[in-house]
Amino acid sequence: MDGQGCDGDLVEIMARMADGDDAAMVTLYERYRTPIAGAVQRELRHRGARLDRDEVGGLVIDVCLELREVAGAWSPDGGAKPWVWARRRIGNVVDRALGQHADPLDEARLASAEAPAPVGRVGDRSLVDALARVAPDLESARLVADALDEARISPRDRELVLEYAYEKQAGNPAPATTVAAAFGMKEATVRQAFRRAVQRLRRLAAEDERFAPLAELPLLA
Amino acid sequence: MSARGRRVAARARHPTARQWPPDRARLLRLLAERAAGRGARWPRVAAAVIALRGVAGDDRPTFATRVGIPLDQLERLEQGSEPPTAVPPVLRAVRGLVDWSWVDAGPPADPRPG
Repeated sequence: MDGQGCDGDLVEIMARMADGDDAAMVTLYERYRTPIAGAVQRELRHRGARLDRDEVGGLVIDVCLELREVAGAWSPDGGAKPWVWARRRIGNVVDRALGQHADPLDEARLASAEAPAPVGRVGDRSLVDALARVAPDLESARLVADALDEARISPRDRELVLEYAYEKQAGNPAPATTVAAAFGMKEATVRQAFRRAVQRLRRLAAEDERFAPLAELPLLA
Repeated sequence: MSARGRRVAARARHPTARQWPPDRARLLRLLAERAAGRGARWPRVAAAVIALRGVAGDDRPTFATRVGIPLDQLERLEQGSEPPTAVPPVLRAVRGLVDWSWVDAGPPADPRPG
């Protein structure tokens, strides 16, 4: 796998999973459990949660099962690996596991508590978090989204850029390592894709007045 | 050590070079539960054979040819309609992937009513 698009091996495995072949799910686990584990760990990190390796190992199997259920809807044409494409599903698997580990509700405290502030859906959290971190207000977030369109950044690279920038802004000292594991890519390829996208965004900010405020955002810092 | 050797050693130490360790016992239990859910009489046999085909990365015809058994026999094994004694020696000879004592100890599931 070179991380550029999806290899034929993975395409064939997903097609067999879509046909209901459980053995293909085992093949997916055998060949791709490492990047899938990376995707699970990333979701845990986004939730500020930690599980031991044995528990993460169980989630990796749960994710393979989840991918089997949605394999028919995945297409290699989008360029995203299945565990990147199905990130919300993976987030749901992680949330279910974290729910099992949560402390039981204290009914008395719950009754006396103020009504909680509304929050976004947990499944939407990672990308929304990423965008919020690199473009802190709604107008900036819209500008980033428009700029990614205008600069013709591919769908995969958009996710990659936002995740990379999120990890960087969150203080991760090795964002390329984290993003590479999640996207099933080489670290060097991640750095190159990020650098290329940021260069295009900087050029856009310099050449088009509408996008000039981009230069002030953490994304391009 | 040469510079190239040091680079190779450094890459091998890097976290991304390490494979996530497999938990095949857990995977087998999951496959057996799924087979039982489909009404398999011998769900552990089904799980073991499906797992071995999955590790090989084969579709059913390719795997049947690889292990030298008729396709319909492979299908019966994967459906869990054959007991552990029906598992061909060529599959039992595979070590380290399946705990055959666990497979052999698996009781037959009750037939589904109906």
